[in-house]
Amino acid sequence: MNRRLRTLALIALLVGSLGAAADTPPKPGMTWDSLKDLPDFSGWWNLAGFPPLPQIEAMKPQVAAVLRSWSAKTTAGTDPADIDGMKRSYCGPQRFSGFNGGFQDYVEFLFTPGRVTITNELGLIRRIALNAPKPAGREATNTGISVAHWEGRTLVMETSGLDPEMSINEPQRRYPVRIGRNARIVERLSLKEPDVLQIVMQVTAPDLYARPVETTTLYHRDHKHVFQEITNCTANDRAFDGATGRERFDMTPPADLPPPPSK
Amino acid sequence: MLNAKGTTIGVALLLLAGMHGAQAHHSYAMFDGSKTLTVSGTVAKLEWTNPHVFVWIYVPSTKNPGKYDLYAFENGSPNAITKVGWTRDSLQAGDKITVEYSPLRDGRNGGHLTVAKLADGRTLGSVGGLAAAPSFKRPSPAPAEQKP
Repeated sequence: MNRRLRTLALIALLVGSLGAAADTPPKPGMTWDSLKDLPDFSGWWNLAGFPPLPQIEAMKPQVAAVLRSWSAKTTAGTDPADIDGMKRSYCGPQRFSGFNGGFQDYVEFLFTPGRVTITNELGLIRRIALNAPKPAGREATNTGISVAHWEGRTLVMETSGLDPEMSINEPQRRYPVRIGRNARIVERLSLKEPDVLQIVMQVTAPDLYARPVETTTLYHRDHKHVFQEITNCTANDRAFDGATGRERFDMTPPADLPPPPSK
Repeated sequence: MLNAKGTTIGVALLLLAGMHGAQAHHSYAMFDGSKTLTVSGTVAKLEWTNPHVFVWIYVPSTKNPGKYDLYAFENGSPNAITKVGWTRDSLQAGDKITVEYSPLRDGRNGGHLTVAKLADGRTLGSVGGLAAAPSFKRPSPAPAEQKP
């Protein structure tokens, strides 16, 4: 075969390969067109009921004991800083330890080709790669490393690489109980009804839990909601003294308070 | 005596209250959630701000007739209480108001608002913190219980 024939054969082979690739449908969520066929998660979502509770009965006994004691003391009126010595900061970054928000705030789920982004009005941002291998060798972070894929009409997300120092109730780092090393969170998101989103979550956290725990959280879509940022990072917060890490109830009257009513 | 299940449920309730406190910013250890007090007075100001809305009211003094005591009541964030019907215009200075609240443990005049009742019949509640306490009674269906 001379050089010319070899070149033509190579071109034919390349064209054939490209044609075969073009015939393979993209995986769900990888193109703008394929997004149209997926469940509609658009809009703002409001938590239905309560956030997933810490599963104290599944915790390792020594961890559960710490949490029970701490809860009893704070309920009786002891300042958390006096129990565990932790100086709390309410102005830290948003973190993910199993709750996407929705209690005070609203949550949104954004889809672009190859990517899911979860945000809430407190400022959480989770970036989730679709149909991608889990990258190795990354630093532990506030939201970890998340990958996802579609199983029919259910979006399955897996998160690892979470900062082991993260409290089980982030972002406030309020509990003296950490999620620990090698935590893994699997979430399965699906529409239970057209405007009801269900997240079934399984948490595996070997330092914290004696066994994997599963919770189910529901969200309602609010078609009328208009985005409103919420922040705990407020100077002169009446409920918290940022200098001491202790809670307070600051009764300094507002400067523009009107006088008392006249008789 | 509580059995094991009762203890677990009790702890879960404590955690639930605490967790909501955290979602609403702090532990609420400063409030006595086992008590509910009521005062009536005149709205001085609705302090509509993050991370907590505060309601300031003048209450006729029982110790100094003819004078007023200033009371302060904490509530959830603007986002949170908007979910149960509050707006930044819900209260105006001069409005007559009755407030049910969990008092401060240190005895000062104020606490965490649970229910506010206005002279025109409106009732406004609370979200966050002590709203999760077992004794808390919501004045209207919680957002979670409302169908979209």
